[in-house]
Amino acid sequence: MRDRLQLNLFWRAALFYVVVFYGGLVWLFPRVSQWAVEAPEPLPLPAAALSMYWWLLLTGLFIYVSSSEARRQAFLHPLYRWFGVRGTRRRQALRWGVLVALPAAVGGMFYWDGLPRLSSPAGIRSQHPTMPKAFAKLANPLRHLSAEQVRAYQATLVARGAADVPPEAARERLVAQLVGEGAGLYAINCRPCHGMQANGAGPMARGFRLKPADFRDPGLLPTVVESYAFWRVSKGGPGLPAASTPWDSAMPIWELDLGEEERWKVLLGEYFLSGVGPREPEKLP
Amino acid sequence: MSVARSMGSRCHGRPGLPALAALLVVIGTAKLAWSQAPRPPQSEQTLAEGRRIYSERCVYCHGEKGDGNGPVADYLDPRPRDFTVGMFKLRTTHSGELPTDEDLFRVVSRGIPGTAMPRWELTLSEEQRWKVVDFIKAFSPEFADRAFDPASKVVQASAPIPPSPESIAKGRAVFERAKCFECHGRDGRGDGQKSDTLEDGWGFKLRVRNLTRGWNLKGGAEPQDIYYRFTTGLNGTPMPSFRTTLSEEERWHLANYIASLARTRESEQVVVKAKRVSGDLPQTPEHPDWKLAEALQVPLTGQVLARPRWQNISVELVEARALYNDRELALLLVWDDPFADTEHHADREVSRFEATYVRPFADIPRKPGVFRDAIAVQFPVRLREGARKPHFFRGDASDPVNLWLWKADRQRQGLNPVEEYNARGFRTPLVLQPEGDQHVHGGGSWQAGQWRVVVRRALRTEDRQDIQFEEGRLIPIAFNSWDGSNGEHGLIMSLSAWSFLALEAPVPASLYLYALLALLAVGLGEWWFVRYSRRRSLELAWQDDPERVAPTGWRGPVV
Repeated sequence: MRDRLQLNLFWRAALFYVVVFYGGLVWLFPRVSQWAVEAPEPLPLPAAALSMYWWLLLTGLFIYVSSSEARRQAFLHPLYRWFGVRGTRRRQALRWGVLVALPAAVGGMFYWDGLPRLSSPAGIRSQHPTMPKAFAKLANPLRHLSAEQVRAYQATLVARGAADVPPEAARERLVAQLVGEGAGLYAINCRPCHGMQANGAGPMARGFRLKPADFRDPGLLPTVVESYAFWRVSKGGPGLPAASTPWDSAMPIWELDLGEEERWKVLLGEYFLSGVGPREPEKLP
Repeated sequence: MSVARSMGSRCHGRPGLPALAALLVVIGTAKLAWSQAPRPPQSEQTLAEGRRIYSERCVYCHGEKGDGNGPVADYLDPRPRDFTVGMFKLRTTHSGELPTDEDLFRVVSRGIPGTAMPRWELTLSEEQRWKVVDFIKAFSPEFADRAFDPASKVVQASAPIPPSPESIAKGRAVFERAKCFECHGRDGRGDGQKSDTLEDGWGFKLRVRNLTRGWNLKGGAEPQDIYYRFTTGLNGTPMPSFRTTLSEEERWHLANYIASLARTRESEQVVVKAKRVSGDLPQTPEHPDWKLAEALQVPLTGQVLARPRWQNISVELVEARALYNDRELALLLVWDDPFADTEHHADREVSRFEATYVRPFADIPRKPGVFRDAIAVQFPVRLREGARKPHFFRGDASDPVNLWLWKADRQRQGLNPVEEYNARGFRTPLVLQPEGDQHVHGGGSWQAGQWRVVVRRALRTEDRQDIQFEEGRLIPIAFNSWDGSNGEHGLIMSLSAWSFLALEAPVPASLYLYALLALLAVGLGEWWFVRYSRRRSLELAWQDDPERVAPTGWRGPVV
């Protein structure tokens, strides 16, 4: 029984190749990676890695079968016998089949590889380019309200006929008012693309190749300081460097249409609606 | 869950298929019942919480008073719902009745496609959505009145009839008999003869739904959703209820038919593949050769990049096909437009706008007979290596674009309908090329709510302001589109981002040679190996048993 299962070295090498390459690298690996990262689809190995493994596998097999005279013979002799001995009619037919199929497959591979193909238009895009120096120093004048701003607001309340409001309550009311006004500006101007839910899924978002930013993405707003967001709002897509493909960005140049204070206010609304805050600038000792 | 209850109670199904019918009812109710958890009990506190969510999320459109007059309202068509009068479109209750709480919850949860109403289930919890629903109901006194209790007015739907070719064909007949085409058009593209006269209950002009745009059916595109739309009618609009005029069965067939019209627009493709043909290129959109070319669906969206921004677009999709021969390239562009607008009054064009966005009911005339329909194909003037392109919105100062602009009014006047322009960014107007440099030709026709336009140009021209086509390259291509009766002109338009046009490169003759050489080389190797194997196999046999090899005359290896 054991003898019957014994294959010669050629078939064992071939089986090893098929199992490791097709079974392991082509079939199993993508499925294991899919399971590991909970991807919706199997994640195939990149073609470059796959070809590297292919060469490694072949080199390894070559070294193995040629590592001793006995192995070399065990590998080659069955081949000599198969190709060199005339054998039965069935063997002859099979041999002709292999002899015709092999060159045809190699020729076909050359043809397939050489067919003119369009390379994928996808390119690399820098998501968070460095902001211009002029913007790096800016801070939102409406975020940390000065005592003076609060006093001015108290005065307007009094002028409107309200009873005297203590400074802390006035500050709270002013913040709420500014955030509300900012969210209103956001709803008019930014909502069509970035969405009322600040998730980048506004009614106009579908048509753009470069999807509007999802402000709820924890990798987006919380990773940039507020002046960065101010730069993006003010200068829009055309203000991006070439590495960030400005030609695909639909972001308007809002400084053409909204005043400076309005743009800062919009940011207050945007942070409020998305439920995330800006990154605080690091203080150097 | 009154919907689930009502559907369950009428679960008799078709004879012989009770199990299937029961299964369909279960599926149907699963689709209609959006709430998974039991509804939280209402209290002063939950109402206050609902008010807070409303004032943080909904107020910008629906307004502080719930009257649909928030600061965003003037920019939207359709306008946000006015909650104070208790009139709602998307219901499961009889015509003219209030919606059930589940109806409101469903709309808040999945939003209204084709409008500004988002899918709140993405960011609000079920509990939060129920609280908002309770708060919204407080705007309208009818909800508190027991006489109007919607729970008793729910449509008693029978088990759905599964969609089948027979059912769809019957539904088509119902569509004819019930005269749905008078508004929705022969093929359902919203182009019926009555469709430009309709208004809603507030006097705002209505746009009839294009039923072929499955992604825009307000109440959902499944037969179950559609069934409820014409069974209950859309309160506050001319869309009536057909509950008494059509039988239960007819309405399910009709629902299946409408659902079969609804197309999707999920497409990951970005390349218009121009197919090479040997003879002349088709000159008309009806030519059968266009079937040779693969269509690319290009999504369009509002021009929201610069003032005057526009978000109430009509053209959301252009289907592009391309063919070429050794001299010329031709494009076929197909898009839905309910009216053929072939007049243009330049004096009615609006150039000054107060706000950052155009107000659909205040700023521009949106009726037939004022502005023309038009479409523009945009290419870069220069093809660059690498990813660099002009900006998709009309290029930029350093990188101009070339536009081929087809105009319905020029077509009607018998002029060449396609004009060539150049642009260097949105801040400067389009520049018409001199007459001697006009090389693009074309023509189009409008039928049953759809324009089909062909534009043609030589592959190469002498003009340095023109795109020059090369085979085997990805050539950026984008579209602008104007629906005149939607008030669109100038920058009030819909536009696409860059897609690509590729002229199929022919297979180079050298490739056949290389493949043949590879084949021969392998064959030669085989020939050698077989010869070598013959010798070695004899040698091996001789080693085993020299006697057996003797008859072949072989005397063993020479040592």
